[in-house]
This record gives sequence, C-alpha cells and structure tokens, in this order.
Amino acid sequence: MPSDVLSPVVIILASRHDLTCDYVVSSLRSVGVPYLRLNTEDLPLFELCLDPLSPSLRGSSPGLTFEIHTHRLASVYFRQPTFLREASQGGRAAAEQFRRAQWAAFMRSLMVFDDHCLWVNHPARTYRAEHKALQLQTAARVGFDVPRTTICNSSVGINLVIGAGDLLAVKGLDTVLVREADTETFGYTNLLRSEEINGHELRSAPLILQEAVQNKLDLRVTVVGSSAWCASVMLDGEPIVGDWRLAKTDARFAKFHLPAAIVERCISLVQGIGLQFGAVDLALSDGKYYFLEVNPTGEWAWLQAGLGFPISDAIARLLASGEGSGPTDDLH
Amino acid sequence: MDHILLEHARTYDPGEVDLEPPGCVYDLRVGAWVARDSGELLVEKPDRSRPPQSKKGDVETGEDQKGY
Repeated sequence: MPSDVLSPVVIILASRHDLTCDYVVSSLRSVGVPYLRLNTEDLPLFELCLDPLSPSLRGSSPGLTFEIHTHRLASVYFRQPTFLREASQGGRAAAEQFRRAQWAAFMRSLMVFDDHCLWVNHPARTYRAEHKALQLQTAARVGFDVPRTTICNSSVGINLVIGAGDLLAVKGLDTVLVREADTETFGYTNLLRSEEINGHELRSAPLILQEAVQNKLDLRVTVVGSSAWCASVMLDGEPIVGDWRLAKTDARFAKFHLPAAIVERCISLVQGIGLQFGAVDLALSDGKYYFLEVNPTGEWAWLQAGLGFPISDAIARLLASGEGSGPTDDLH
Repeated sequence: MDHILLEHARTYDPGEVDLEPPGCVYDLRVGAWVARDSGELLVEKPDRSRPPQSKKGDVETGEDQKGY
C-alpha cells in the first residue's frame, strides 16, 4: 500500500458539526493512533467502494485516500442516528430525502466490519438501548431504584404509578419532536397532577406515566467502558424541579462523588444493555439513587470542557485498544 | 384536541443556525475544525471563549439527531 494511503486503526462516523468528535480526534492524535473521520455530508466528496465480503472500504478524494482493512481496524466510534426521525421532514426536496436515506444506510452498512472490531456503540445496540422500557427493565435488574412506571394510552395508568405527592412525570416514549411549516416543537418531561391529566387526549398515542421523584438532585453519569464520571445539576445553588434541560442555559454543573456501589451499578447498567458508552441520568432523593434514563449517544463535551472530566482520553484509549468491557455476545 | 404531550410541548422557530465556528475551517484530512490562521485544532485553542459542544448546543432536539 502506498505510504500516502491512510489505513486507519480507528474510524469515526459522525457529521462535521458534531464538535464533540473533535475532542476524540484531539485525544487520538495525542497518542498517535491512525484514525479516519467520515462525516455523512462529506461522503459525496469521495469516490467510495465498499466490499462487503472481504470486507474492505476504499475511498479517495483530491486530498485524502484511505483503505480500511479488517486486519488493521480496531474500532469504530459511531455517532450516527439509528432512528431516521428527520430524513423526510422539514420540507426537504425529494432528492435530498433520497440522498440522506441512502448515505445513512451506507454508514450503517459498515457493520460488515462487526466481526473484527469494537463499536462504541454498535448501531444495533444503540437502537435497542434507546427504548426506555428496556432501559428501565435493565436498570431494575442491576439493582437501581426505578420510579413506578407505566406505558399507556389511558388515564387508567395514573393510579398504577401515582405517589404520595400526587405528581406524575409525563413524557414521551420516544423523542417528542415535530416540525410544521417554519416551527419546531419539542417535548420535555412534564410534572402534572392527576387532575391535569384526566380529561386530556391520551388515546391517540402512548406515553410514559411515571411516579415523580420528589426533592431530587439531578445527576449525569458518563460511562466509558469501566470508567465513570458524575456531575450534579443545579440552578442558583438549588436542585432543579422538573426537567433540568429547561434550565440548561443557566444550570450549573459540579463534580459529584458517587458511592462506589452506584458507580458499579451505572457501569453494569451500560454493559447490561450492550453499550460501551452511556450517559446515565439519575435522581438522588432521600438517599436513594433513582434511575431515570440512559442515552447511548449522549453529549459529554461540556462536562470535559467545564469540569475537566477526561472523557475523550478514555474514549480514545478504548477505541485504540479495540477491547470492550462487559459481557460478550454476537455483537461487540 | 392535541395529545397531552403536544399540548405541553414547546414550539419555537428553529431559524437558520450558523454552525460554522468563526475563524475556523473544517480540515477533511485532520477530521476536525482548525483555526484558519494557525492550523490549531479548535478544541485545543486555549483562548476559546465558549467551549464547542455539539450541533445541538443551542436548541434541544434530542441527542439522536447529531449524526446528520
């Protein structure tokens, strides 16, 4: 192979504006690991040929030529969506919808390298792990306290989960994001009383009704392999009532020391749901650590930049090693 | 009547967000945004006033949208 042809040990599948990946690039460069970043919007800049049998991928552009071979590839950092919620939305032209769907499928087709490398995270595992019902089930199995939860399309579910405070967390089973004309609508977690739910339209779509965790402190735990970092989320020095993302502009994050048993539980949860990376949301209330959700593609760069958590270095080490943590099965 | 989740959701004008970091250019070979003048990686620049985070930094649209 000519010396000017890049043969990466790590590939990053992302988009140009996913700046979080720039931190991982920086960490990979600092340890001298050959890598290639492929962004969906850049793919048309290359002439690409994927051989699904060998498998191998060759690409060339005026400034960069690469060949990906299984004997050299250790890992893939996958920052792509596994649900195509937006491909046909936003008034995009037919050709643009077509182009997006086909390139997204091309990215996912790189799963032909499954047998030979580590994925952080594997698309099939991310797809599975994004389901909140499976998250809650796995969290309970590894020992977390989990708020009483029902997934329903009827107010009958209220009495199954309502707690002493008469407040319910009402949230989408999937991301609530709709676009219409020039506007976009996003749904956060709502704290509502039962009388605020009764009489409303529920039947047309399922939702999550969950016992509201009262007097909580929000915690974000970022897990990479067998390491974890925890930050608390507060506003004006006080815990935040309801969905902290509504206050994220003014929210303050601070390092938070988790008990070792809770750290282990977070790592077990992420591994148990088949991931190498996970952003875990917990709520601490009355000495109990309640599991709320885990995001397989959660953000973390603001925690590294603000609190010094060495997350990109940990991801780079994991990618360079090609060795994952946790139970192994047919997926990596 | 709207579903309760839509009724309580926030509607906004997503507008046109300029995602290009000022003074930087994306380097295909490096796989990162670099300063146009020095070639330094954006995330390694010591003088950046606001740490780059992600494309969804300003408007919450779920963490699954980042790949495209």
